[in-house]
Amino acid sequence: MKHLIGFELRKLLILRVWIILAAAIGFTAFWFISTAYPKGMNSILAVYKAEPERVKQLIGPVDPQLAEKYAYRLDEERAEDSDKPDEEKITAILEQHYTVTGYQANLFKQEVLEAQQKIARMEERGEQNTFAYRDLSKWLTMWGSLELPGFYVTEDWLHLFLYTSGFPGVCGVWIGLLLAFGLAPLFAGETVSRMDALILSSPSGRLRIVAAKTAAAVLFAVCSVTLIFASTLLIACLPFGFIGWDAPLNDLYPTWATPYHLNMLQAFILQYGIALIGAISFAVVIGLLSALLRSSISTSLIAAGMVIAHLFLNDRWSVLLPTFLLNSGRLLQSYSTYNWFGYPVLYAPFALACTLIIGILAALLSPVTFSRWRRSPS
Amino acid sequence: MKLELRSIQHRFGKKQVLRDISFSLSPGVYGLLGPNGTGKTTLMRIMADVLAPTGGQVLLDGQDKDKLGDTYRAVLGYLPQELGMYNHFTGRAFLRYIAALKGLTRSEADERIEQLAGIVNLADELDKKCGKYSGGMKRRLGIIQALLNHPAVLILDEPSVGLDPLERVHFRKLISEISSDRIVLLSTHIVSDIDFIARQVILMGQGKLLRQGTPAELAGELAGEVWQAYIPARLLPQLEEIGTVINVQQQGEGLDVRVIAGRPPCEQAMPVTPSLEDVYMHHFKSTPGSRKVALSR
Ligand SMILES: Nc1ncnc2c1ncn2[C@@H]1O[C@H](COP(=O)(O)OP(=O)(O)OP(=O)(O)O)[C@@H](O)[C@H]1O
Ligand SMILES: [Mg+2]
Repeated sequence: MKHLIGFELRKLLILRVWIILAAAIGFTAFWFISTAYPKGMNSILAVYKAEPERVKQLIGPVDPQLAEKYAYRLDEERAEDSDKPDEEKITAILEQHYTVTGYQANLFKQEVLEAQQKIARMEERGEQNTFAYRDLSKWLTMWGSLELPGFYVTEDWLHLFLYTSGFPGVCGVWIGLLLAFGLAPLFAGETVSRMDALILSSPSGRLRIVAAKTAAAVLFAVCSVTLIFASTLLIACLPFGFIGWDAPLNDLYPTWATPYHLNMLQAFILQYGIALIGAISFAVVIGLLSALLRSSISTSLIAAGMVIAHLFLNDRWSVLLPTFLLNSGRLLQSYSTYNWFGYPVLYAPFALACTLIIGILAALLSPVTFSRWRRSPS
Repeated sequence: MKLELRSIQHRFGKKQVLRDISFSLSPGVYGLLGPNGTGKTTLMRIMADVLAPTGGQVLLDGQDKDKLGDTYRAVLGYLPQELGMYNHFTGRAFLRYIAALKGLTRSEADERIEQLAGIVNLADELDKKCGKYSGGMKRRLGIIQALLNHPAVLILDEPSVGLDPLERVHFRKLISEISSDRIVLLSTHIVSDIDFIARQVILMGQGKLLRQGTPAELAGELAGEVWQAYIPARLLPQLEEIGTVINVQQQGEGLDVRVIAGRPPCEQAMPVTPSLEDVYMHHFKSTPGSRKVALSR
């Protein structure tokens, strides 16, 4: 079996795959260098590069008095855009960022307070058994356990997050394209190379070959996600020494509303895991399509269509699209639940389960579809 | 060991390609003979478990092949008429892949590949990419892959197409050597291929089984009906009306002809011993196209 899986992988690793992979990594490097890396004194990251010690002193939870002291900076122009000399600019950037963080910490506390008041009012009205009450309490429990927004340098992680899960989540698109074009020949390629007869007439020609091909597709998906995520992480954060890896996730503006108590590194690893599940399910679905259509071209076109579609669909039922989780950050961005007979169920595990079920169904249907080849030979 | 076909039928859409084919095979070489489009390949695909027939059964030692499943396919060696391969694989990698499909271990596979490549003269070409193989090299690679698992049932669809005369002789020798304890079914429209090695001939026409028997038995059916004559060219149309003209050769002023006819077709006709080719022509001369094939070999 190990042998067969090895051969199936070898059949998949054709030039086209390496080209897409090289294009993906090349594009990532180009994007980060041209748009995300600091140019001149234009970001907190640039400040950190210039004066790391000074920045490090400020890092941590906000000191409200200090934030108050710098509040006058809010009336000034955006410090990064000013044409003051660098030394002045550095001070301005730091102070402006610090006071903004203080403002965010207050907002955060405000949200908690409002929710507590709302809950108290609901209790007075005896609404403890409603979904709205349970949902709000659940949110408050999660939100309340988070750290207050603090002062951190997380711009490298911000760009990483935008690249993996913004619009468009470029990482997900590259992974999707790798799978769509790399895996389309999984079964269909045997028809093209007229190997179907030899495979079908062999003792492994029913279940075993389908299992080997499915396993190869899964390995292919795992390698694709790992290579793309690892290269993106290195390109985004290595030049800055991974600064901010232990900052809370709600420090980034796209994830300010996250209810999950995670730091940047944990969130990234979680995203990787989510993308893995998405990619594995998607890979199995492509395998099924390949066996069903017996054409690499139509399979890759439909699969590429799913990759494009996942960028635009974002309501809760888009989870039925096997590519949904390729944009792996969307599950971490906000508090989202689902009314399960009056009880709130977090949307994230629900979405993960949906995608897994789609993958399992596709895996179960593949042998059936493949055995139908005997009814209509090429 | 016995391989039995019971009332095999096959239809592609509305087109009935195989009609009620039944025969049984025991160890030895069988030649499946018939003109283009008779359904030889279709029948072999069914026996190789590549195509599900629309009717009938294939039984190995009395057990249905569909019930035997993997066990049935484990005893098979199959060379399709159009062999596929992966152009970016070397011949050796391709054979290792087939060996893996057949469940051989890596060392068994390598040993067997060396051995068979030596026999069919492909040992020096094994590390070339399949895409660069000539037609005859591909055919030999196809023969090796079919034999990798020491198959008890060997199904070869036009195995000798593309082989040069020397390789064809090697191939015939190989088949004779291995056929003592296994069933070998090979299809061809090259009568001489079968004449030398086949114990039995299965004659197919238009999806039906016409005859099954040893070459001698089949030829015997035409005893006293095959004639050889030297005639002036102008008499040829006359002869064609009386019987089936199988062969015409310019010989000095006149023609040397071979004719199948119930009575002597002309005065100078001499009776000759019928051959398998005569039998083939007797059955298929009327089918357009078959004549060309038989004469052009
Ligand atoms: N996949 C298919 N779909 C429809 N018809 C088919 C298919 N395969 C074969 N046929 C038809 O079935 C008939 C038998 O074809 P088959 O290939 O079995 O003949 P054959 O005896 O092997 O011919 P040849 O000597 O040329 O190899 C032909 O009329 C062919 O057109
Ligand atoms: Mg054929």
